[in-house]
Amino acid sequence: MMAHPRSSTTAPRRRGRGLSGAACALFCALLLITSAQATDAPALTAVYQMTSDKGTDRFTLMRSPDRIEYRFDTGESQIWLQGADGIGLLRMFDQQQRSIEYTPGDLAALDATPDWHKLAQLVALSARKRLVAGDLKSWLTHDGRVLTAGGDARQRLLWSEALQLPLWWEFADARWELIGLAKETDFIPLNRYPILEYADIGDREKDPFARQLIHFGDGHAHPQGAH
Amino acid sequence: MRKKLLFACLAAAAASSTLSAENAAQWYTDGAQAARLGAELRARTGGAKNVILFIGDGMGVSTVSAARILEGQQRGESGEENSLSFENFPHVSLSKTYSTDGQTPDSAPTMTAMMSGIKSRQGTIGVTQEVTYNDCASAEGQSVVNFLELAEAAGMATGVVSTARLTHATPAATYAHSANRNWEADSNLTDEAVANGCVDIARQLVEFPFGDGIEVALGGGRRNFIPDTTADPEDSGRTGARKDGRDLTVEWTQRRANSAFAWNRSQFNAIDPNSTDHLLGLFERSHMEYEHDRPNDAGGEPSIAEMTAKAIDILSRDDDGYFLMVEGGRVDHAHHAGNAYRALTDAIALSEAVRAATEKTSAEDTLIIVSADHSHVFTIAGYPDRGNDILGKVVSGGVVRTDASGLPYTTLGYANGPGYRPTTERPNLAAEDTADPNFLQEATVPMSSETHAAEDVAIYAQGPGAHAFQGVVEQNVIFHVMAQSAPRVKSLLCILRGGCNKAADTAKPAQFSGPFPPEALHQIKFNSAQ
Repeated sequence: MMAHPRSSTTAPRRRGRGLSGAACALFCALLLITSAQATDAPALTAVYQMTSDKGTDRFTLMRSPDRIEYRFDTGESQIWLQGADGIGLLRMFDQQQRSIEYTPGDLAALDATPDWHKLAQLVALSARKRLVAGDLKSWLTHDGRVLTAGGDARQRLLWSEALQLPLWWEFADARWELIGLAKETDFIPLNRYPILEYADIGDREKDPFARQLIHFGDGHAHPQGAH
Repeated sequence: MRKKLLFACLAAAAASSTLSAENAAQWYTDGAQAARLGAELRARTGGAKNVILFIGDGMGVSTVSAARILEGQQRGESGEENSLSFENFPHVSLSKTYSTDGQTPDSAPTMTAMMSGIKSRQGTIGVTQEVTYNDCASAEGQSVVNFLELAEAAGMATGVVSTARLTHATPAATYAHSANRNWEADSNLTDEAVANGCVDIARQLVEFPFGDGIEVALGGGRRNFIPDTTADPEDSGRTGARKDGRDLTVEWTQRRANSAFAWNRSQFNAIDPNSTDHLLGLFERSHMEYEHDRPNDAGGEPSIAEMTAKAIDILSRDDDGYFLMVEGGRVDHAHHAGNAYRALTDAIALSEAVRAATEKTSAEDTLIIVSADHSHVFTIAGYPDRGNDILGKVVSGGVVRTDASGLPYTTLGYANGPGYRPTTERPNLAAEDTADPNFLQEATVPMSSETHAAEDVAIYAQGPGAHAFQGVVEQNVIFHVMAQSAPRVKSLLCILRGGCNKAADTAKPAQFSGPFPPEALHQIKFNSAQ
């Protein structure tokens, strides 16, 4: 299944920092990335529009081999880091100007260690295979790109092998559509805001930010994007 | 999965073997012998040359019980009859953990109580209850001397070991004084704190002003000691947290002769305790790994038992004795995450550290105390059969027991925390492997981080002076038991206080009965002959 990146805060806030190509047409954007191997997940910046009964949101995916960044309209960013000890997560909150860090051990203790490929490609490999297995349509475009479309009764997916990303994806009552793409990445500095560690928030009752996380959190226990 | 089944079968067979060896006569005889040994127990009244204080952060009584069972079951026994290393200590008491402004405390005032002999406010370290949290100015003149400072001033060697950051509240309370436990690096200080001259906790460790400085400091928290312009040696792309440009790890090695710094296991192993006088080890950028995850750490970390053993090897070279504090800091963090497996395996690791200490010392001259700063909302529930997997679902009479809605439940659980499952009904755990290290026990109240609990915690003690632990005591009594048991510290306090050099001389009442500011130690010259 998809990583379902989503933000916990609801304050609408437009992002698009460093994304001169955010409005770039999909066709043009795809032309920017032609050298990627089909099995690679190339470094890029991708902007998605998510439409559902609840409205329309955008989020930005930025990735490199050892870093994946999700930025939400709400002002929260999730920065996933692949390090020697495993995958860690830094969540940044623009409104509070604070960050919370989950070490690989924290994520494991929360049973929230994600699949790196799923984070990078948004759709888990198993789900992708399942979706395209039944009603597979692949075609080679004039510039050598391979696109694959598939689906079942519940989901439909248009997959780009070059990008290793969905171009669009419909599931349940939601639709995701890639609306912007750039091969540049403009990652957020990790130390932009003071960092609080997840392991420490239980001892930070006097810190309003930590208290909010402890008592109201995300509405659920796990760091988002992991499940 | 097959391996797990095999292990479970072997464990069940071994447990069955244990149980079959039990009989009424054995219970009766063993009980009588324990009672007789208890009655024959005499206090060790000689002075404690050495004092070792072990703290399981958040290691409440239910954690000790569950860890004891898990350790036994990991050996293939039924588990309940097992004892952690410190559970065989002859003296046990209960400790009331509340702070002056909190029914349920955090680690800062609780460790202050144990180290300085007074209760204080939430979030503050080594200062009186007159101090307002996060208000540097209010801490002026309110610092209280602690046991480690007294030990250093009295000529003893001292050490601090923790699996948490060395600047975290529990270890910090052994050497620092701060109106805010979170002022771990200079970058954490508020403008008010800087303006009023408050010093960050990492600096206080390295600039420790008493005696010949702390001999051993081992734990995590490297980032608080190195500049934010210096790359971390282990974590690619990450840096230190200091904004003042100071590299305190370098300063540590430069301040005193025969000093060393290590940041990974191989460097740690290469340290010769016979030729190293001052050792700083910072094995993680932040907290050290959970014991379960330690084998996967890229940089390599020593275990808490290995750190304890090496600390004792270095400290015991001082003929005047030593004080060592060892904290199993991550029991608390695993509980906060709602992960019982990691909390219990870290508690077992602490037990191994205590075992290492008891093997390297003698109860004739070393007072060892094991306690916790506070408890957690962690429960052992239901009516599981003897030997039932402590991490498993409740099985009674060989049958998986169910709740009112017909769903199975686990023995271990939390009153609140991340283990809450947001469903209209309880989750069906029938197909879940609840013994998986990453399984989160269910929680009743949804919270992103499970909380501390207010119930008493236990104090286990052996060695000279341990018999002073009797009944239910205030947590700050621990300091006073250590102080009255260690002759060198006791003598120093007598000098400070005046009039008590002859304790029985009531004609010379103490001039001052309250706690002392650390500065008082600068005004006296302690003669090692005293």
